Amino acid sequence: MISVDNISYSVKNKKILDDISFTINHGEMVSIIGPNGAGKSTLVKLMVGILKQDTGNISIYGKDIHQYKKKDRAKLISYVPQEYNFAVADLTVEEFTATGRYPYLDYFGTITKNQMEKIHYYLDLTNIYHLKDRYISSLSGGEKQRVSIASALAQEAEFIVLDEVSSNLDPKTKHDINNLLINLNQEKYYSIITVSHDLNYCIEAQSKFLCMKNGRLFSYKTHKEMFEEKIFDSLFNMEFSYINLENKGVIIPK
Amino acid sequence: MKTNIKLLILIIICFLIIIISPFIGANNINYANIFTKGSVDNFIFFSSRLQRLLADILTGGILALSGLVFQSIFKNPIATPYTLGVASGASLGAALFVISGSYSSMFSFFGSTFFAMAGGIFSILLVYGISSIKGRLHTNTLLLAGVAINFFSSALIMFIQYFANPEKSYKITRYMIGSTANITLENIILMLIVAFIFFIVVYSFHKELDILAIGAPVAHSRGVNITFTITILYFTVSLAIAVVTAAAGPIGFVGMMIPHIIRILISSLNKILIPATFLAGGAFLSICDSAARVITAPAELPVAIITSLLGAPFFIYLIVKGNKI
Repeated sequence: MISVDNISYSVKNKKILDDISFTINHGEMVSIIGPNGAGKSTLVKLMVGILKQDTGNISIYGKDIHQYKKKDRAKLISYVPQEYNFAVADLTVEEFTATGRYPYLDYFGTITKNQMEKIHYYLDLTNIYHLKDRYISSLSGGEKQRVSIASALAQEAEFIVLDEVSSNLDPKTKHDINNLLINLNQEKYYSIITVSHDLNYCIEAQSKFLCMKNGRLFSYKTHKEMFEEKIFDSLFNMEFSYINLENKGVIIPK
Repeated sequence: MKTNIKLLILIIICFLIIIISPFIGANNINYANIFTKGSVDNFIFFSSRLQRLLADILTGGILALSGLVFQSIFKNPIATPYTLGVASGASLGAALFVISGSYSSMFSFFGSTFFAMAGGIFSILLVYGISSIKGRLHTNTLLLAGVAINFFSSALIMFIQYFANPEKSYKITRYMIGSTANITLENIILMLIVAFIFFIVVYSFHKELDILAIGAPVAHSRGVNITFTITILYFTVSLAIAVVTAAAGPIGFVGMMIPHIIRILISSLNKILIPATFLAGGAFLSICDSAARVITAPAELPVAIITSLLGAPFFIYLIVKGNKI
């Protein structure tokens, strides 16, 4: 369980996050949504420990995330950024995924047979095993995101935090990546926490919605409540049509 | 081709270069005499060429490996060992030593080396201090502060040169070109110790370097202690660069180019990249220095001229062909 208690975070005296509290249980799917500049990316960076909040605390299973040893924390929560910088290093898919094993490696960083089996397992799970010897720079956007997810999975953390991973992808690729995440949640019981602008996907994934607005927690509701109470309207200051289509809830801007 | 085979080929080529280079030079040596004590041939082969070969390998290796570390830390493909102002700081130290007039010989070990190292270390501390003022180490600030110190020291050197007499001004210019020709045995022993420690420290961070090159946020989430890693590597690299620059002056292009070449030709995985880069850097400087000895024989060129003249076109060729940087 991740519990976030009364956290605030400022940059140059401007409040980015203001007194936010919520909890995420094991196995939950949570979508962090909200207008641009609401503080979504900052929030996930705080949750993974990349940034440190000014006040309040964030704990995983009752222990403050900054009290954990860095490697131990990495075994509990992993992070998939929006994109990577490949300007310097161009690793192969297998080598890149192996970086996810970092918290488990010994001093010499030996990838044992056992370690390699795990790496291959996660390459297989994300359907990119056949690409394992390809260089990252030669992959398509969707394939890169799969590698990125595979390397986070290799960390074997039960909480996976993803920051807008499907934003720049075409509809088919986006659909595939989204389905991958839904499967990981529903079949492998990972807790998936995503920052997303793809509202219909979040509804389809039956996730809980952590709605952020102006640095504050606007609401934290189930997909049904979001739908019934038409919360998307007030969150984004615009009107949506709420439609039931083939037993799925869909929203489209009016 | 398999990485192991490519690595093996690289090792063979590097060793061939290293073995051949002491046999190249402006003077024709009678090899029958090289083991005769007191002969000119013995002196040239052992005290001049072998000593210089050792200096080339160590200088080239340290420069190349430093470039590799800085490129990974700063995620910047054009970062070089000199980006952080260490070299210009060291040059400024050497220039100050020259104008202080207390030198007996420009390249005397305890004079110029001490001054150059002091200059280098002073700029390291200054740059690191500036980037940690806000409490947290920012690599971008480190890079920018380094560039600023670089220009500031260069301006001071020009200032000194402008007012120095022609003889001293020439000596400063000569130092600033960079050459391994005047590296003393004391310098080599110091560099050998430094290179050994430097290599061990860098290699022990090979996993961290792999992840750091991907990006700091991910490195954080993987459990890498970023501030610790960068601080240790920054000071180790900077001290090694200060020692090398004090001995040889600034030698360009090796540090930027060799890591890229190895990445393109062999692997980006630091476990392989680190030793391969060190070896290739050493071999590259040896072959450049051999060329420097014969191109304008009997006169000698400073090796730094050759590294850039040979290196830049080859590097451009690789960028265009490899398209992987």
